[in-house]
Amino acid sequence: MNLIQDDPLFQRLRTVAEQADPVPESVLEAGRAAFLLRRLDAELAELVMDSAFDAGTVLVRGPGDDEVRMLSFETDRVSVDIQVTTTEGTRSLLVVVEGASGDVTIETSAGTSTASIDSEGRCSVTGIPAGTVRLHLTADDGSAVTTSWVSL
Amino acid sequence: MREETSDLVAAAAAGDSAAWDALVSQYSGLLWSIARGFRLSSADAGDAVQTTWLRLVENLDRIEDPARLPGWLATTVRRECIRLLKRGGRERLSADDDLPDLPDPADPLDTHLLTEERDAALWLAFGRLPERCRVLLRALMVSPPSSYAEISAALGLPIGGIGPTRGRGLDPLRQIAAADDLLSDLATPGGGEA
Repeated sequence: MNLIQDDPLFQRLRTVAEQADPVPESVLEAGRAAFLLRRLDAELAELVMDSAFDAGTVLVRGPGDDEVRMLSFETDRVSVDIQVTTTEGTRSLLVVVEGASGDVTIETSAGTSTASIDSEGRCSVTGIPAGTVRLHLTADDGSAVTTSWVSL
Repeated sequence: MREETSDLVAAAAAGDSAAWDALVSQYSGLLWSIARGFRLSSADAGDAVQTTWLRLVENLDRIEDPARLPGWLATTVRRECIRLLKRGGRERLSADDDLPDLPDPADPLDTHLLTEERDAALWLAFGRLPERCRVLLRALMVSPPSSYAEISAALGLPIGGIGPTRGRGLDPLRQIAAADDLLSDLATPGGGEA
């Protein structure tokens, strides 16, 4: 059934694809580097909602024409909601944490920045570049939660 | 190969970075092919692949059936691609029926690396195929080849749809090849199409 590999047209097409569009070395390097970002010390908060992707979510408009993206992450005891606004290419994050208090570290490919969660469970961070991002919560009780990576 | 993948996943989960690097070497081609099949720009395709590896790192301890890793990876990168496309605002390269006249350095249809004229002709014709055909054909190109079951799971395409979709992709290329002096020797199926 699967003799497509013997088809000369397909074989040529594959060779051409390998020449015209190989996996960039930078992509391989980033893939290898992903292993260094493994967190064994924190509970994983999984992405449970992403307004940019999930059907049925209402598109929210922020000030001006900026689109606001809502993301929610959860563990059994902690929830993290993030409101993302894009302005002139950088992202501003309003983070709302329930179930924990402490510090939030935003990890991006460009580095990290840390903010304290205020008494209402909120913190905000600006100037986040486009790319993959995750949040790491260090709670006052010493426990830690890390969100899944998302592409902003 | 399957046992080897399972071993690599187990070793990586135990902290062996060489095993991780081997997984990245083995499956990046599959992930890249799928992302580029969606005609994401080089930067967006790189983001989708990177996010997929980060998700695997997060889930290394929880992969229940490492033998199914290729399907899991492909499904994850496909979701990331759809996420990037749905979100809009990102650069999407030309629509199927709207090919640019000028090559873009990040364009998957770029032919500047192809020295032979007939290869460039084939690559441009491939770029004009519908997305579903492009994604499938690129997934089929990956070495080592994935099983139909894996490709079906990864692309959300029924197993029974793979043959027809493959045909819809290759048949027009074969017609172009047959009509082209430079490509005509490729036009005869060599045991591929029944």
